[in-house]
Amino acid sequence: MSCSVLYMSMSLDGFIAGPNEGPDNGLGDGGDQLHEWAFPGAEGGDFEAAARRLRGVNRQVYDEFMSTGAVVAGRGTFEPAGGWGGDHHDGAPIYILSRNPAPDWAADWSLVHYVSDLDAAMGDAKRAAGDKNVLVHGAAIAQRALTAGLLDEIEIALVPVLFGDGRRLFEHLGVVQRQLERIRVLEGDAGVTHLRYRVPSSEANKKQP
Amino acid sequence: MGVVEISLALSLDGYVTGPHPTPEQPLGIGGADVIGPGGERWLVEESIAAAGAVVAGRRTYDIVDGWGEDPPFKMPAFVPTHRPREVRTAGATTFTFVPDVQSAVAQAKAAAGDKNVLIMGGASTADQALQLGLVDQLNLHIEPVLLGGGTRLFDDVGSDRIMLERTRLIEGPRATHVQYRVLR
Repeated sequence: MSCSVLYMSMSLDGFIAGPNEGPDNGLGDGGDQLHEWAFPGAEGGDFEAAARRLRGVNRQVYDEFMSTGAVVAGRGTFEPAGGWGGDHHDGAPIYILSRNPAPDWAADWSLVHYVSDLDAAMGDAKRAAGDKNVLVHGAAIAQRALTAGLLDEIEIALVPVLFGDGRRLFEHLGVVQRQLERIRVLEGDAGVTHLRYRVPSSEANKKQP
Repeated sequence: MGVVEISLALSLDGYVTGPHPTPEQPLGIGGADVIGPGGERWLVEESIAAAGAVVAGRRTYDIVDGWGEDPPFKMPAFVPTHRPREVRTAGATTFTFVPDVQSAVAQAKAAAGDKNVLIMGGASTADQALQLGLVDQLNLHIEPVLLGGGTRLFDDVGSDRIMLERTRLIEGPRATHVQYRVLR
């Protein structure tokens, strides 16, 4: 069965983007450093060639999120990334949570669906993904999906740096204790630690003391 | 020559205590159930055994009431505080109160000799030491829980990026133990 899996690269102090994010600075100042593990030596901008150089555990995790069957993200992630050219990977359908319709430049992309209801979007994405997982990406969508109980798993690439400033992943969750079940730890190159957690259903969490 | 080490357990969202820590609940509401060495007590013992002196924040010191009559450290301990206090000896631990984190770490290093200095919290003391460039090593015990509130580690380390090198990774039964060297 399809799982919704949040994939994020995060600094040890919890940031998924540097400061001064903007339309032309989607990862914030210096935010690229969080993604270097997936694109080693990509100076100059040839990310595909860089990704082909991946080996070992980092390759494994990269391949996992690039073989998901659908993508769910917020427009704050999608639009600064140029909408991934209309195809994140392999023609997987893309669901963008937004109160507004798609901007003109993305309106004709057949894989891209602008939706206003996260619950419905996640349902559509899971149906579209079939046996594959759904890639969930972005801090705002993560926070909404977690609080709505719509996230099944969390995969964090923990990057060995303290940013000190930027956009945090785990914020605005309310003071609620959420137990997680750690299901995998992988020791990646470049000091990156891949941590995978299952998010028990909210019912299971309520039974905790 | 020893290193200056921060050793702390924290939630995946970065909290070292839950909300509202008090003497009765030093790890805050719900914190004691989810943050702590759990079955991996040896990691804490390892850090204490390698240390020759301890630095502890004044707020932590007060919250745990100075670790009672027989504190577990059994070595010199230095507590930064703006308000001077008399030296206190409890069991085999001597607490010396010093004006700031910088002098706490300096005096702890002198007292530790060839052994490590253990900064055992709280978050504010650990952050200040990091920001001042006084820390060589982090030993973090990442618990599988999101707390959503409380006292956050790394909340005030300045905006200069601090690069780290992972030097050890242990998958405990519950927590994930990651050790980093601070690069300069």
